[in-house]
Amino acid sequence: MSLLQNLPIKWKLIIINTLTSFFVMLVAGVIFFAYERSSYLKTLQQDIETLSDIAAANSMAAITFQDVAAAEDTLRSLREQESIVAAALYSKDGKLFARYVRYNAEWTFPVAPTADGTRLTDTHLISVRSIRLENERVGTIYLVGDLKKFAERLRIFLLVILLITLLTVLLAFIISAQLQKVISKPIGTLASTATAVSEKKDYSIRAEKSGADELGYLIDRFNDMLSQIQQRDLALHQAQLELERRVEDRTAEIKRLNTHLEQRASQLENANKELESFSYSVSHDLRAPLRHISGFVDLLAHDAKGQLNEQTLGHVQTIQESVKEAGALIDDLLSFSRMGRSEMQYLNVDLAEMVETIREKLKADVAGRKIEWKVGALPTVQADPAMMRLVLTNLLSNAVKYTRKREVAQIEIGSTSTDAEFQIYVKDNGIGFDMRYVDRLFGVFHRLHGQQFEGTGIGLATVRRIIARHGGRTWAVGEVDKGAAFYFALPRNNKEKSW
Amino acid sequence: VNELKRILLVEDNPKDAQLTLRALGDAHLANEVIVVRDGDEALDYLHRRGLFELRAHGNPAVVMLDLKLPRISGLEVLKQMRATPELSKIPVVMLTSSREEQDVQTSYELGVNAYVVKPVDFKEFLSALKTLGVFWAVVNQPPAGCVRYDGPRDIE
Repeated sequence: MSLLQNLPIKWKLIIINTLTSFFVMLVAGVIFFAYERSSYLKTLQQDIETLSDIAAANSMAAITFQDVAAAEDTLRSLREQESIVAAALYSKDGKLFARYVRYNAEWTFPVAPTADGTRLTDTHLISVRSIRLENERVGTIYLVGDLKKFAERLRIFLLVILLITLLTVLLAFIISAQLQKVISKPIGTLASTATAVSEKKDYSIRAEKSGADELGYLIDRFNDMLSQIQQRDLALHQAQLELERRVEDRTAEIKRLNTHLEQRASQLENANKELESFSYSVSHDLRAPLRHISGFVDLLAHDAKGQLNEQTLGHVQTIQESVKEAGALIDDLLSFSRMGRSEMQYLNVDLAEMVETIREKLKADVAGRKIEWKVGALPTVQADPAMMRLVLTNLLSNAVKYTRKREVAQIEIGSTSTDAEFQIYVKDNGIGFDMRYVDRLFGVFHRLHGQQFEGTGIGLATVRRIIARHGGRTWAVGEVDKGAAFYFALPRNNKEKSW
Repeated sequence: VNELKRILLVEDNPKDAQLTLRALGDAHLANEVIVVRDGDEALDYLHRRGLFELRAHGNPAVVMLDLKLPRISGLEVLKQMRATPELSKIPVVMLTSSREEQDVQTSYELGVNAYVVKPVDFKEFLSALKTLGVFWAVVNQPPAGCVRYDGPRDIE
């Protein structure tokens, strides 16, 4: 069976049909042969028994009278019967009495007659019958039939059967070779269609239907499936086209945005350069006239000391103070703008040490004042030292400045820390601020206490900018006349954050 | 007195020059001060060429250079001085209103001896100049006529 497995269906069908016919014919032939053989044998047996009866009757007298010549005459009459090869008569006491052997034949008779009956040997049929006269056995007749004709006939029969079988098989082969197409052709069509579809990826191909049987149904379903695939393929293709179109659109959009961004970047770069040269000019050119005013006012005050009255000297002093203020304003503005662009350098900064240094520097400003300092534990942080110094200086000098009207100023510096950040605060019992304006505190030039306290309004803006550049946050809490608290938070892992 | 070396002040702004001269005077510097207006003139003076072809020999005791000058900048003057063997040893003080880090750094890289940011406060400026005067020039002389150079004039 496994040999058949890989053959084309066409050949499978042909071989199955042919083999089936062959085996059917074989079985039929064997049955026919067996039947023919047994029936012919029966005929032969009957014939020889009849002959034996006739010969017995004819030789009755000869046996009775022991007439050998007459007995042999009688036996010789069997010559007419071609099939009889030999014959013999045995006397009552079992002695061989007369015999006959056909010309050209040879036969060895048994010395005494065997039991009655018909026996079959390979080549002969032997009939032994008692001869009876009035129920008394008087002798025995022994007849030998030839099976040559029988064999001949069987051979011919076998030949005919073989011939018929061959013819049948041939016919079966020819017919099935034609008829197998009914089954194999639609299957072949289906197979080749499937192959074509698979190879060309063309789902518009359809298999041709050849009948309304199971194969026809199969082809119908196959075609249905192809239609569905074709539809899906089409939908997929359209979706793909749509997707490609969208990708193209997006790419174009991104390119456009990119170009736009690049333009903006270069504009910004230019603006930055302009700003840099602007602040450079400011630092040089704006300072010069101030310096001159300051210088010449000093000369004036010095040279005309005796000639000026109290009031005029007061004016001169006002001029000097104003010039100083303007100078401070320029310095603060410059440092604020520098904070935005100068490169950052992350180092370990011990805030406790830094606070001490700054307090030392502020001593001149707080001379004669009573200030209760409360400095808690402060961490060492990763930050730009110069910038951090500016932050703390601004916050501490603010605290000192806005507690000026307190009899006893209280300034507290401390920190709280979380896993993610360090929070540092500076609290004071100064004049505080209205929480409604908390958002303005950190803006440039936003001053909540402009008239009572000197200052440029840039300090907290600089603090916020520096802390933002460190990736941190700034906020404040305050109440009018109760005090203020300024907080900033620095992320713990602040190693390489630079722009 | 004649052996007292001169001070070369390179300053384009007459007001600044005036204030500086006054400050130098107040500091009782006996040295004669030559004032030139730009880098070109400064180099001409130092190399004894152009207007200064016929000036007396000898290098100034100190050169006070303004950073921002017309034509050739102070930094360029400093650079050229340091590149000229006979001028390379003259002390140079950079006088400027700039606090720009890059200017300070460049100046020191070029071998400036001192860098003084002209303070807005004249008194601070004065004390800075006094310190410089003590350092580089001779001061134990009574106030001398500080000469302001106003273009070509007779050769001493």
